[in-house]
Amino acid sequence: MVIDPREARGVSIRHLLVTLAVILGPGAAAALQPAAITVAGATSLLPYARAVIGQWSRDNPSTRVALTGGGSLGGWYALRLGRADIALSDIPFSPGTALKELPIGKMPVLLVINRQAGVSNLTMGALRRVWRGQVRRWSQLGGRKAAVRLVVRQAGSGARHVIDARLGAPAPDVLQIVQLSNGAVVRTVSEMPGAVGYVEGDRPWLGVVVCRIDGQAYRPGGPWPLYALPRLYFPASAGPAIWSLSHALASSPRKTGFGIVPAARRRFGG
Amino acid sequence: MERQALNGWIERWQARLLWAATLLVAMLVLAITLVLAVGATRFLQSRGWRLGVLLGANWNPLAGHFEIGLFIVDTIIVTALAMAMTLPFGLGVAVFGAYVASSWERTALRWLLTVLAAVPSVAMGWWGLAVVVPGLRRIGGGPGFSLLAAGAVLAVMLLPTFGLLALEVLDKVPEDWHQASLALGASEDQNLLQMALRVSLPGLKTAFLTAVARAMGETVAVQMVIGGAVYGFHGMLGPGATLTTQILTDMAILPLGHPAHGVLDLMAVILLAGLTLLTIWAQRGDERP
Repeated sequence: MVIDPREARGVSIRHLLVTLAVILGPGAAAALQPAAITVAGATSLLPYARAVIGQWSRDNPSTRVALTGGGSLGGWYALRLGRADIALSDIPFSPGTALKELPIGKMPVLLVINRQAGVSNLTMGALRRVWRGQVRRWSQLGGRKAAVRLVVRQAGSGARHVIDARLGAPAPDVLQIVQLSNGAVVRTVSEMPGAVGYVEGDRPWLGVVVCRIDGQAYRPGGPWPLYALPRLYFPASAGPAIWSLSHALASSPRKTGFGIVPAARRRFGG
Repeated sequence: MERQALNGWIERWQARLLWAATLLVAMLVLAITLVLAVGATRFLQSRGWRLGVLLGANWNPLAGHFEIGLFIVDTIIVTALAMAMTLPFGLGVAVFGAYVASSWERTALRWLLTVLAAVPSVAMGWWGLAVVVPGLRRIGGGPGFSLLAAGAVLAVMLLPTFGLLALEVLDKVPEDWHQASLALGASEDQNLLQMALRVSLPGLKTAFLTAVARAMGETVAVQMVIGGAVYGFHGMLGPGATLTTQILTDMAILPLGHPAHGVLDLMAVILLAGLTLLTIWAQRGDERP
């Protein structure tokens, strides 16, 4: 058997490094591994985060980035428990001194209604009555006779947090269908007569009516009452790679392409 | 002599390997159960061992309400609905395959059932969304997302599992017994009902239990069509949530390490305990004279 001297040298160097790592402890072993960053959190921010991380990874090829959902609350817990390095959230948390918070911008929460409801404009007061169960048929609000059915997101979702804060939690006796993503909400609303739900982000939601609120249709830059405020959190003691990725996520100009209004535009809505 | 010694050595090592594999499986089962049981016990301890945690229907983990009675009831209902739909069809398919079908029909049937068994849960969930949910909406006028939709999707998923196992069991009844039964004057129906199905009962029970276990444990397909409602009972045509679907929905807000994560462990333990009780009950039935 012929042994290539270069290969033999490679093996011996590798062995030496591993031996050194074992001798010097886990810290040294970790240092020899390629850097890895885990980003977790709000599912509504995943398409944007994926795009930014793709660009950032091309500029930083030595760092691997894993992106996972789990919802705003799930991302926050993952960060607090040390299972993620960056948490994406559209629910506000108190970062304390150990964590850093960076705003990403504002994301509209849009009401989507089934076409058969015959309703395309609602006041905030009417919406609250729908959520409280005081409106059972759309005909009570000038629409057709279809029964009102709510399509809501699961607990821990940022969109649900915004809606619960502004409209109140739905009354327990109101029929609710829980869906785990914006896409599932839109699909359900489009197919279920009389359904009303909510989604994050200004995208062309097909098969549903995007409801005007108080006569106002959502348009970027215009007044709108329902905004989620996405932000990210990371440890204050994080290394330069995490700081760099966090700032890329917070400040990338690509956010407008994903329905996120830059945070500086604070004069609109709330 | 040397060859005999070598064979003996190989056999000893084979036995040791098999024993080690069995031990590994037993340890895995024990470790999983132990982890879940510790989490569940800690959770119950933190709630003062109140039975209300199990029996109530107030589920709002973010507000500290962890009553899981509704999910237990919905799990039982969905499993019962699925089994009620699967049992007659599955048994019919098995009887057809074992006693009626020609050789090529039997081969085709086995192939079809195997293919159906290989369809991933998420694909069955899509099928449920595209066919079952709108169908129930048209028939019942409700939202379509319902316990019945979950039961129907599960029934289709369980059909190949139960059908294939039942077919294997019925195939094992010796041909001589059929001949003897018919020679004694039994009709084809009597032969099937009084002899073949009776002697196959222990095997059919095992097939049934396997299907029930799959029904109780299935998550993704059920989650896609059940509606996820956590408030009250809305009837068979209304939405609901099973133990597994609620674990899936809330594991993001109650991750490992969260003080209330134990409630998810408790839900898993209840599933395990339910299946264990069912197995013990079935085995006791087999032991009766």
